[in-house]
Amino acid sequence: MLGAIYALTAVAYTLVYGVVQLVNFAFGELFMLGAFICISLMLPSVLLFGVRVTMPALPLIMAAPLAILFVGLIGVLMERFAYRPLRNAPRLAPLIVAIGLSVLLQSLAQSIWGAEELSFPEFELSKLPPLVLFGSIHVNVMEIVVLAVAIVSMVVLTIFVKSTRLGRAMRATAEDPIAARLVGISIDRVIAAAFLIGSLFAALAGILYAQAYGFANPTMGFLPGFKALIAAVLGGIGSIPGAAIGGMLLALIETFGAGYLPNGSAYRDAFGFGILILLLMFRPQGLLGRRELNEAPAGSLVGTGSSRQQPQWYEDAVRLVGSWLLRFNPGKTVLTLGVLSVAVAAAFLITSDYWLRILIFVLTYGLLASGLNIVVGFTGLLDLGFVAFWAVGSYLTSILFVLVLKQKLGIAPADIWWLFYVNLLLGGCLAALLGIALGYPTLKLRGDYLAIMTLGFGEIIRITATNWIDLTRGPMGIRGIPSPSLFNFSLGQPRYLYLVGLALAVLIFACIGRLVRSYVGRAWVSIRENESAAEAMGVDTPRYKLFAYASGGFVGGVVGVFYAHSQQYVSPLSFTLFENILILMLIVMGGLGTLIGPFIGAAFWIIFLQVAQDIPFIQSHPELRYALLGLALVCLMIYLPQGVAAKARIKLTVPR
Amino acid sequence: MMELLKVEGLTVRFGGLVAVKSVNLSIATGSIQALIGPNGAGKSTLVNALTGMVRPSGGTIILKGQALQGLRPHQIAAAGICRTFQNIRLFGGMTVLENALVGAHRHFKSSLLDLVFQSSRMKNEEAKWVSAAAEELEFVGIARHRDTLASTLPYGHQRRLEIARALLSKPDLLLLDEPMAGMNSAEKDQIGKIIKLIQQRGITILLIEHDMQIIRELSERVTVLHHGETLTEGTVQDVFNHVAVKEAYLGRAA
Repeated sequence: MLGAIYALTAVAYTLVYGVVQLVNFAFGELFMLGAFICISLMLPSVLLFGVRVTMPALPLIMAAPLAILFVGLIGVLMERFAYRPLRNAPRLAPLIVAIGLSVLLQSLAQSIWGAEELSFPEFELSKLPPLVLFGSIHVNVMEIVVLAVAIVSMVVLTIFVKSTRLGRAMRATAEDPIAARLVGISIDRVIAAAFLIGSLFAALAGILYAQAYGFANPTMGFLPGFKALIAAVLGGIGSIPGAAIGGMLLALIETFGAGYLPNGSAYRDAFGFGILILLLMFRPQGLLGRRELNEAPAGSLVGTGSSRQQPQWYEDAVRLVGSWLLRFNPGKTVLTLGVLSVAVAAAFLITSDYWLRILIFVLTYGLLASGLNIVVGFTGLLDLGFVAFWAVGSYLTSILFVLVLKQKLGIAPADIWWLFYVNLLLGGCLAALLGIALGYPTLKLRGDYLAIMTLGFGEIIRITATNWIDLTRGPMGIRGIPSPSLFNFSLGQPRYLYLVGLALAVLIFACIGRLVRSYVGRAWVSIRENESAAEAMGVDTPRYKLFAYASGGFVGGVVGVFYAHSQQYVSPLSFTLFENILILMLIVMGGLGTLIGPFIGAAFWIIFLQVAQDIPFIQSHPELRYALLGLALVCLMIYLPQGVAAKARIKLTVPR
Repeated sequence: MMELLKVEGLTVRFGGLVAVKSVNLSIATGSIQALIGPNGAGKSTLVNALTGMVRPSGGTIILKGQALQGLRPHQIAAAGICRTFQNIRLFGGMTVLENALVGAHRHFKSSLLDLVFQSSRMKNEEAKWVSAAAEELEFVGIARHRDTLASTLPYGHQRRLEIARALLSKPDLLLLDEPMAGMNSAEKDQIGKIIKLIQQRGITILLIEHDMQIIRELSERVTVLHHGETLTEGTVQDVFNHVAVKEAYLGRAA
């Protein structure tokens, strides 16, 4: 039955990918919305934004179609306002928009319905006793209904695509959008239809899932959505029967894996990701798919700006900020010293620990974003598993200090204060090695598949950190990590922590700057701009990609060590996909492929969080902040794809 | 005659299709060898195979005694073959100078420590290649655009930048894949002059071109490719008088 649900959602991914070659990550959220809306319609009343609203209390048979239609409408709107403006933009832009929409919808649902789950009301069919087949097999009536619904809708869809006018137009668009347009097919209509049908299927799957498990919650869409994507890739993305087979196969593998492998049920969710990774390594086109889908067009990351005419005030504002930043271009010695002295002075002038802690956060996130920026911004590889490196650094130092030294060997952290500094390097190197190990299998992948695969890696690391309780203490996390100290002098106060962080930031910033302003940086950017030309000019592209992963990983690892010691606590909750998206957004906001962009982005975000706390409505619904984050990501991609610091584009030669 | 490149029995298959069928090619050191043939004859595939961008299914490629078949593109660039692209492939988001410097990538020897500590070795190396790049930009005539983004260059200048970038790799053999495509005759003349000057610097050239007049002016020997096979090979005069060549281009006389 799980297979049927995966298959239905996989159809959504496959259909849209087939027509526009886009992985719409937001289908997982449409899945969730379908469930929520359906349940809400079935209840006599629900709390929306904490206010009790009377609902029609419809029976399932009426609520479900209404909810499905409503979600379909959302899907169409999504396409119209978020994806259509980016139709001709480079691949990375719509992908980031998809991620932004996903965050937006999930946080919005959390604000509207609250973070708790909504249980699925009982209805007539669910109360029927199980049927007994062949004397020994018990089957719920609803399981049969789910299977039947899935099969019927698949068959209807197949007939639709095979023999209606719109279906033919869809297939034509999938083959060659330009030719399709030339023979008079309205591409806009076809794409909207694909999004509509995809959303309908996702919502249907969500409702079936919610009734099977008896509840709906705002994060329920993520895992099934992602697994459906795996199923779609497994079956060969773009192929409808492939999606059905992929869904069934994935559900079978998960069930058997959980049942028969040692400790299998704890790692149940990791199987899907494992399969995905193996699949992408050896047969990226899936079981029934075609090969070409792995190709992403070369070119600048997110385009050189929106092609549409912008209002004058907007152009002016961009130019003003740009010229202002240009004047403050780093690399001029005087200015660097100036900024540095202000930053150091801040440590002594700011007396509030609260604000110092905020500054530490800006530094931490700015550094993380700088590390990811090497991979995404300079080399052009969308990495959604970057938090893994951060986690590795954090866990390395935590395990060494707390679990090994303090608890096993009984050594007081104060006696080995220097280990912190060794660990900074060690954590960095370990994360860099991990970067190479994880980067190696992705070398042949580009674009969407690369993003999906790195996401899989990140999730596997997180699931491991949660479940390998002997090593990481699982979800409880590790407490009591000592603050850094120098000889007998503790650096635990926010002021000193800030200074340690600042020193790290200066070091790392300088190293990245020097690497980027050399033949290494030029090699990275040339890979981003045109990989095959870079190779023909003598750039060993696999090597430089791995080096980018390693450098980014190194930065992530170092920051992880610092983070663990400044927080004095680590748990798997800090290293979610959501954090990765946040870091990505910081870079996009500040400017992909610029040096100061990540820090500007981090500063903006933290200031925004502070300001938002004072707005009463957001105060009572804190998740709305993240909805705004998603919205900001989408708007940035459409209106300001190069980020705020776009004009601070860094020179790739040594300044003289 | 000193032989720089010797290709024997080179074959490229794409599934069932044989794009290049057992081609032999010999290029003399210091010469300009032309490669012509109707559209779809396999010229670009041959260039792709020579530069490792397509893996040959059979045959040998020998440059100065070194076997190159099966090597990766960057290894072939290191061995001394560099190319330009028929469909321009510049690094659009980089400046003209930075584009040219990527061409010189293989000559950079500084270690990571040199870079991080900005050692004098690294600084000298960078300065040396920046001035070399400036010279090549001057040579192809786009020096004053050195700080513009490559994507904003006019079309003709983009073609010139492609040549400068390839020259900075200091190749023994330069493959020019239709360097004058889409240009008017004045521009073609200028590029022709540049090609002559490159030859005088001692760089051997394989030139793919459709304009017979230009081939007559520039090259000594011509190889004609048709349906992936060598139709004929010889001096310009021989080839132009060859009956099969006329048939391949113009069709059989009634």
